Amino acid sequence: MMTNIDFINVFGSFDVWILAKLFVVFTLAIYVVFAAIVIRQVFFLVSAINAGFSWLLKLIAFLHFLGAIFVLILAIIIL
Amino acid sequence: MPEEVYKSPDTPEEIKGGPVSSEDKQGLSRLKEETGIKNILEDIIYSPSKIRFEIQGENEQIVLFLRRHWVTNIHWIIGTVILILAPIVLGYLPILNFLPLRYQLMGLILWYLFVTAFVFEQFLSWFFNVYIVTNERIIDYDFFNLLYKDIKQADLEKVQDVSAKVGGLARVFFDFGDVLVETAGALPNLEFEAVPDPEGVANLIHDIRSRLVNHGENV
Repeated sequence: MMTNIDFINVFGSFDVWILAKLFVVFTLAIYVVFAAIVIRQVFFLVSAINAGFSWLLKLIAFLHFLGAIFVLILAIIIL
Repeated sequence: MPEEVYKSPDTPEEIKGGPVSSEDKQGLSRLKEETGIKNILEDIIYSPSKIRFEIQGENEQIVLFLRRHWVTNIHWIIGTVILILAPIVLGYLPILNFLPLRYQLMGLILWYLFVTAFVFEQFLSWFFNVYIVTNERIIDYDFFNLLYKDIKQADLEKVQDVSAKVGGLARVFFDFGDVLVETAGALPNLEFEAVPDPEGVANLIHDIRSRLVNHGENV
């Protein structure tokens, strides 16, 4: 049976920054999914109403998606 | 912002003028011909030649293309400026100094990613929530959340009444308000929210409808 002392020792040896890194990477992974949905959304909107410079909106959506992937990789490397 | 090109009709014959003629502009004080990207960002576009929508008929022509008045974007633009400046202001406060530098840097990047997404979503919401008046019908495009759209439409012949509502200091000052299009029977009423020059828009819809019903003219 685990005593209070054992419990503290387990968590005392745990690196809190690993937990922080997992949290950031998880958040960014969700953000990458969101950025992919934004691309889908822009295509959906542009197909509904072609109100000019559709290519620019698509480009921004793609750059946003690539930026999110880049930041996710950066977080995995530097954290 | 767009300069005034308002031309008031002098005679009833002028109102019954030819297709998409200058006479159609009666009551609209801020109409411009579409010429390029700048005008694509306008909140009111008259007879746009480059804009198409998915349910547009083969012979259907857009007479009026409307978005919410540009002033309605001010709140999120101010919010964005505050969000952009927040890390700079917080940089003077030592509240995040307990974090390692790499985490501070990642926090900053994350913050600006979210700001980018916020700005893009707000812009898309303004850009694609539009009201379209064609020579056959009136269409209200609403986009909610990410992938849900609601299209309300009414044939011009089914329109019973069109009224404009302007209230509040900002709306009076910048000349924007709501246009309510009441339709016959069980059809839903359409409401153009915060559109520029609501009285002019209401007059134009009323005239197109009158012409269609009374004279059978196609605008």
